[in-house]
Amino acid sequence: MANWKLTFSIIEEEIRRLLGYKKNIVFIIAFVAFEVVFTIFTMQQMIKEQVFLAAWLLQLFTKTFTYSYIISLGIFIAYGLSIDNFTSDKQNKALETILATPLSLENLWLAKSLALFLVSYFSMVVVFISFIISGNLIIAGSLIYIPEISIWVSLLLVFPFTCFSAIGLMGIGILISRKIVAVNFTTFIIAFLLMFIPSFLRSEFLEISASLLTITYAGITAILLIIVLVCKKILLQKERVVLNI
Amino acid sequence: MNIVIEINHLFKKFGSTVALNDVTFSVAKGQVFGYLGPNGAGKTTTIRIMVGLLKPDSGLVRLLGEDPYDDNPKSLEARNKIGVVLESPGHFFYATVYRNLVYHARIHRLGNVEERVSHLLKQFDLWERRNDLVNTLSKGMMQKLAIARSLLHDPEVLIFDEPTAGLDPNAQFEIRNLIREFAKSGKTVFLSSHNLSEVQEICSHVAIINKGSIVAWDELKKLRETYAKPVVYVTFPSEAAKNSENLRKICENIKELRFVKNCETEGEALRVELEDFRFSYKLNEFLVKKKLPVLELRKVTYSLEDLYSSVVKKSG
Repeated sequence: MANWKLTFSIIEEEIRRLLGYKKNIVFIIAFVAFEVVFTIFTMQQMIKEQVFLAAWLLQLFTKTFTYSYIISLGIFIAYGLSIDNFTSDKQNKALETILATPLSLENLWLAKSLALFLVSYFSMVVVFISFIISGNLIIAGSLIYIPEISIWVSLLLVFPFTCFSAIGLMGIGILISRKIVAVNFTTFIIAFLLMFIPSFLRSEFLEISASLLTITYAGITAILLIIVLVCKKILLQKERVVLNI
Repeated sequence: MNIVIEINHLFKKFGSTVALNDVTFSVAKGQVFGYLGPNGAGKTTTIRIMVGLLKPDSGLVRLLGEDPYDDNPKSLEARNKIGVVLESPGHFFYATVYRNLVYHARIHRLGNVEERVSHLLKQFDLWERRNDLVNTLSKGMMQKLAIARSLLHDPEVLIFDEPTAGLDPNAQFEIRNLIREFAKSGKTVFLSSHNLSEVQEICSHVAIINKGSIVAWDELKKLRETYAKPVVYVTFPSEAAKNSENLRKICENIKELRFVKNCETEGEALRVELEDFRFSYKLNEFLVKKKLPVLELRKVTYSLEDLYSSVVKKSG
């Protein structure tokens, strides 16, 4: 059983460490800014003078943006930050020292994964809201489109679990393996590809309703969560972690 | 006697390599326990099992009465009462000195985090470097930070794995003093070290491990008595000692005495191994009777180094 009080105080410390390192801040800001600016710029180019298309195009872009870019952005940020959060701690043997303290391996994994998740998810939400606001204002100059409920459900209720599962799985992989770079990259690629499954399922992307996409993602997320829980139960053992440091 | 660390018939294998073979010893409260052994003898494996990082294949390990590997509340509480410095300092390299300590203070659920951390940083002369990243510290400073970290929660037991390895003499001296001060406060210290003079200086009890097995374990004083050879050095005035043939002849005569186990020349002196130190006066009598011009007859103090090499050699 996780000791939540202790886990929360370690999450706070992990977030402080992640954000206390200038390189990480620059990485997050650059990534977030690139996503928003690039997409808005593309839309502007497509619309040009045809303002009547704006609402329709913004709706289309929001759907694409939400179900492909946003979730992959969260995972990609977590992947970048995990180098400091998991990998460097493992290489410096800081993990070994922590495991000799009253913090259990489960609490440690949970705290590190949740810290990564919170930073990544916050970036995801910031990108989404920036996109919607700037999309409306830059393209139409007024509020022409507010995302439908299923998109909000995905963003607020499904993606947090998707993002956490991908990060948790990556964390387990880094903790129990010596081939950190390979594990990190493989987990990232698998999680990244999973995000595009709904798009691959139907070739006519436009025809898929946001609700159906939300349900598909919820299904993928449920499978990911089960994989994480099984891996945690079977693979995440202290001796395995220590011997692979 | 209040046992703090109990290791009973411990076995541990890594693949086909036997790392620990029937290791048994215990550390009582207040002892300063030295753990010695050559490279690869099993010292670090023992410590890793002792602090709950590894699980033994068989045998019993108890740290403050609990299984250290377990993550149940009692085991976690036992781990909360120990301070550990492993082979590698184990810091967060890309965090400041201050935050490194705060992180561990929060793991130990300390209430007065800022006060405690500031106090230790000042005590260990790290206050000026508190906002620097750990990767900018020297090896000695990193080790001092590791020791400060281990003392954060005022632990009952300190477990150190080669705390002075690779440090310059000044840093070694400082760290040795810190351990000594901690020991003086009546707390238990378990110290693994290659530095025999360090162990001799600090420790009250010693265990020697070789090839995964404990080959000696007792109070340091008692071990010395058990393993010490009663050796006496006889030195002669320089004119007499220069004649090596003469020295050799005296040596042969001494060898014939029934209480003498061995005699050999060592430079300008004779090294005489007796049955017992009780016979040193008889040796003196013999030398006087022979009218030999003896300058000095000196009993050898048996160092930990002598003890260590004789025990390790004996065990193969």
